[in-house]
Amino acid sequence: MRSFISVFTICFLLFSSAAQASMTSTNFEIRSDSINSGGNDTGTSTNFSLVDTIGEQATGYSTSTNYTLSAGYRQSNDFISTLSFSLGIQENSTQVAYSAFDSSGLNVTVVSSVGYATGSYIGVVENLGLNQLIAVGKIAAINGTVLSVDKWDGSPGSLSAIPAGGDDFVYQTDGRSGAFGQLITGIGKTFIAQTDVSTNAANGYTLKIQSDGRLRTNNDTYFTDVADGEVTTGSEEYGFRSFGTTASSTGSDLAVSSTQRTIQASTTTADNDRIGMIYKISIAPYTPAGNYSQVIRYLLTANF
Amino acid sequence: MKTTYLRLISLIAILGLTLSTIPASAGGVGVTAGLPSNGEIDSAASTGFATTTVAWTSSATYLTGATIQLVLSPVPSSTAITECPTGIAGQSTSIGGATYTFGSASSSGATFTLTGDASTQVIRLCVRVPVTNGGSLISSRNFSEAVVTTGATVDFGAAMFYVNGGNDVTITATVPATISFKITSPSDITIEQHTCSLGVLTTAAINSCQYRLKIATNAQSGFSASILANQNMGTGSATLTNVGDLAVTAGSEEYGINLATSTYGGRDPSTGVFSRPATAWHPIAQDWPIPTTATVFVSSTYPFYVSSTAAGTLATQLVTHKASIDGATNAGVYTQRVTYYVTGHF
Repeated sequence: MRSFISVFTICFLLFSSAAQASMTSTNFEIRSDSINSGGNDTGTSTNFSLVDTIGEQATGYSTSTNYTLSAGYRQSNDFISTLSFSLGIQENSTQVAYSAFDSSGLNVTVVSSVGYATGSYIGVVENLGLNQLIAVGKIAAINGTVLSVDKWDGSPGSLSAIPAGGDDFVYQTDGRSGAFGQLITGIGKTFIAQTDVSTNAANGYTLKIQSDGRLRTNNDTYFTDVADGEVTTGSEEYGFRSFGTTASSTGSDLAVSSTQRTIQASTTTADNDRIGMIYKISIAPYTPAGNYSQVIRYLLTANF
Repeated sequence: MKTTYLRLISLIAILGLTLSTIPASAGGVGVTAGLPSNGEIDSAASTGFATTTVAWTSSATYLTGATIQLVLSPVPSSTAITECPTGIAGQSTSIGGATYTFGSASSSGATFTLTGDASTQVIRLCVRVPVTNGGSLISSRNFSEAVVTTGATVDFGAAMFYVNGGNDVTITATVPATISFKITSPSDITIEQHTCSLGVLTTAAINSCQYRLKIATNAQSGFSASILANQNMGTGSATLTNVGDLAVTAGSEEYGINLATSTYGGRDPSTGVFSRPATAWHPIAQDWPIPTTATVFVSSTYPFYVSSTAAGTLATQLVTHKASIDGATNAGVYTQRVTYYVTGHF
């Protein structure tokens, strides 16, 4: 009898305390506690801060079909879901010619790197025009005229190591506006966009685009959306094409509509997943004059 | 027997306590941004805060003591977030009907602690997020609101919020204005023609001559073309009588003009097809005198296109001058110069 009461008491103390995410009294709350041998929350240097714990017992992850146990004082931090998204558009004022592209070496050699900065997104465009080839990345280092990126996305494998020149450019893609500028019959115009998605959602994410309406003037004269899979010089057409390993809706030029369309997706966690997009437009001799505009929203959903 | 009961009760108690320490369920949940719509924060209240909500369906009903940690990343501002007022439909926190406290608010988040059991699994957290700087909305950026619960049910997930167009691209394009006008041969619209000879008039017939007006413009509201004669058809001392009965008739001294407008050329605003006809000044079957003051002759309220192909002829305006005389018509060479002015309505 005594032994059962003892077992009961031990179990009660053990489990009932462990069941609390925090311990509270009238005036105080201990949100997290630990028996350990060291560590603190205030380690700092000029550029970094450190919060650490050492000497805990039986820490780590335990999983079953339905549950995950994260044992340890700071394991609770790992439960915080992460989700980030950035979007960048080609900045025409940063256009600079390039002379070499290294897909595997993650480099592009430009005529001048003035104005470019580490941490900026860039897009490489070969054969500027409706059939241009693109690669996108984020500058990790600049050595003279060589821009090194963290990785290439888009369609880097399609770019030439040595472009023919004349219509091959690099742009920073940190902008917000996609300006086609003045359109001329017989010349297609483009600009590129770049996405960047990170999340610890185990089932990945979905990125969609949706417009606020058709490309239009302020008195609702509408531009013709591409419908035949390709924006063609001399025809009044407008659309986009996506490139990248996580890109959806690839292989043809598509219209941007007020119906949401998935352009990028993954079924696993993402660490700076990126795609490159080319927005394309061309006019016919009869395209109504005017200033056309449209707002496209990107909507990211994580699948936790 | 008594010992057996005690053993049984103890075992049940131990089992119950053990089970109570294990989360009833755990996993990711679909967290969505409710307010603002699509998570797009494009304005703020006068206080500088924007009301945001995240919603999800919990894996199980949350119980007293459970906490929901809300984490903003990156922080949109150094100012702490605040709780939304209670009792506003759709704009207040509702944790499955449970009572709760709001605490530990900082710029990076806050914690909701349940002080009662929830009765449903429908969860909505509402916080006000600082999104202004100096009275203006902060520059474009995105942040996530992540949630994680503690207690018997461990749920986690996150939703994106976009400040000041952080997820928007504004597309712009300019199409320059164009307008063109040619007077062409009635049979070949690639050949310009600036004369129209009625020939030698007789009392037995109506003489006529023709040309086409080839007008094209990408003006959104189309064009108007006016006609103006420098004088009545005349010799200097004598004039042909202008038609007054809508039809030039053989044997009568009459002179006038007839317009047959195009059946195509105007851009249908709904389809983009150039299927709209031009508009004539008068019914096309009627003959009218040519005015000596500028008068709108033909027009369209749509962009107007004339292709260079044969089919383009259908998008041109066919003009016919007609004359007839009677026995008293003065002999002589009659002339008149007709001028057209085309205006695009951009």
